[in-house]
Amino acid sequence: MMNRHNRWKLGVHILLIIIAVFYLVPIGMTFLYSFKTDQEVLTKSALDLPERIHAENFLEAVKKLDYFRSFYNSMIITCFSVVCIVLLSSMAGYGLSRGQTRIFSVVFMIFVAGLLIPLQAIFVPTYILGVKLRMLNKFWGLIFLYTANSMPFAVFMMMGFAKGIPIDMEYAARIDGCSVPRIYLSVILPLMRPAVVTLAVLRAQIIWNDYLMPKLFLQKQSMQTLPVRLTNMFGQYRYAMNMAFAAIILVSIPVIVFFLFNQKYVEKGITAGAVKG
Amino acid sequence: MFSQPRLEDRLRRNYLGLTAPALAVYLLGMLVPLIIGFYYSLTDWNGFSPQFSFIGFENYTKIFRDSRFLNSLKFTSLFVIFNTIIQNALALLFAVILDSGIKGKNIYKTILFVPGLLSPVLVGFLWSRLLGSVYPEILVSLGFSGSIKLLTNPDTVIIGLLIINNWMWIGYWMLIYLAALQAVPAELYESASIEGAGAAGQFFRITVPMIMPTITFCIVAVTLGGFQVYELIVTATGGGPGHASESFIMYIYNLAFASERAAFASANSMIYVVFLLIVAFVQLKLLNRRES
Repeated sequence: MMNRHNRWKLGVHILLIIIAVFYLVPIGMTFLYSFKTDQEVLTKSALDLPERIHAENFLEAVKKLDYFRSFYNSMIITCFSVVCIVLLSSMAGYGLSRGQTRIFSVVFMIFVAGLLIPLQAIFVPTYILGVKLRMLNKFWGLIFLYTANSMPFAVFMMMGFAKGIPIDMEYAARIDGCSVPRIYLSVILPLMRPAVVTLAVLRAQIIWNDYLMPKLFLQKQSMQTLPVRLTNMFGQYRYAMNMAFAAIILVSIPVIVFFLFNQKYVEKGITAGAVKG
Repeated sequence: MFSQPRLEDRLRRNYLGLTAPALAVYLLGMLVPLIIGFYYSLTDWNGFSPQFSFIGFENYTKIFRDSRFLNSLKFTSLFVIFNTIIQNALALLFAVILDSGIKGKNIYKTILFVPGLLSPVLVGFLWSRLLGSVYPEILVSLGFSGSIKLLTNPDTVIIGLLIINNWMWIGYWMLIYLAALQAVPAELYESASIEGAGAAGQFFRITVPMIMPTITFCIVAVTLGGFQVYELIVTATGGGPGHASESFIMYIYNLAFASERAAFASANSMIYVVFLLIVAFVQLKLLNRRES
């Protein structure tokens, strides 16, 4: 006879397995279809295995996506945005955490107010601004917008972290004749490393996956990012499901590998600020 | 005679100097668009012509009589309500299960979380094919019949999109709930079980009050995220069938770039920002009352 505790445990395990199946079937099907030929997609049923491993879908997808160029575009935009975000927000976070007068709390409130306004809410006027400032089809335009829109969250996070750095170290550096910018660079920034890495990983994820902004701002095909190329491909080849699924794998693998290497930071970043105590 | 400025003044100027670049970029990239948006919302600009005239608040009064706006408002609101409830309830449930010392916790955690890493446009397309042809085929080969093509029926398209969106995001919020659960002191549970409280009693008398700040945060954030739903829908249904799954953002996008009504779209954006602020404000008011 099972006691109540064991029965409960068995029930939980069955529930978890059902959940895992619900989560894994889409991934399994993606792989299965990515190896099928057009013929197999049309004539065979969904669960049938492909007769042999076809790599053609992947080669075709690399070509249709212009994979390496799109990858490079996404990479440039993501890396430069993250560097700008980290630099500006750590400077501001440090400055705001040390400033004592009223103006600093007012500036902080101005940043925090932006937390509730998502980029999607103002994309029409942002696009108008982009046209006026000649930002279209320029990487720097997009990098600027991502930096601007990340500031509320990034400054909020960096300010919280900088507050926890004891001020005593700065006294010592100041006696040695270091200026404030110098102290920021050689004392504070190295100490902020954990927060900086967490913020960078988190923002990289969001920027890499974004679709709306690069679609609006980078209209030249040679400048498009992976999500935009992928979406265009879905539209053009509506019925080539096997090739689309191969493309999905090509686009997802780098993201998942990146995550597995940085899992600790991603988890910390997500929970930072959300959990008090 | 110049006197050396006091140390505090000099420091303060330096600290302000460090803050200035971030502030400047933020104001230009976010505040200026808000002002531009408001400015154009008072005109009849079509988005490209050099000429336009001021028409006051006419765009705003027109919005609430626009049937497509009302339709997208209805769809988005329904989506947000169900999405917020399902996502928070299941994320918390999964977090509680994984926190109960189950074997394979980290594997399940990773499996549940990975979909949130993917690009929403990719997830939308993947699921449109799964729900449109792969799953129906699997059901047929397992001997079931009948149609389950959720996304092509205007009455069920919202269910399909809710499944997709929750598949994607439950793991993300679960991580946050998990971190909150781990911060609850174990002694509280020990003393409660000595007093004879069961699992459900412990959950409602200890867990929920202790993690209430996290619950508040997650509810507000999921609501905000739900109102932004767009990219997923682009590739899953394209807003169809008809306009049955046209979300707020998609409606604004179509107004600005397909219908060439930039001014009207700007007015819609302004309404949207105000709407988001009101919803967040009301939620925080209600939930904070429960917290204290």
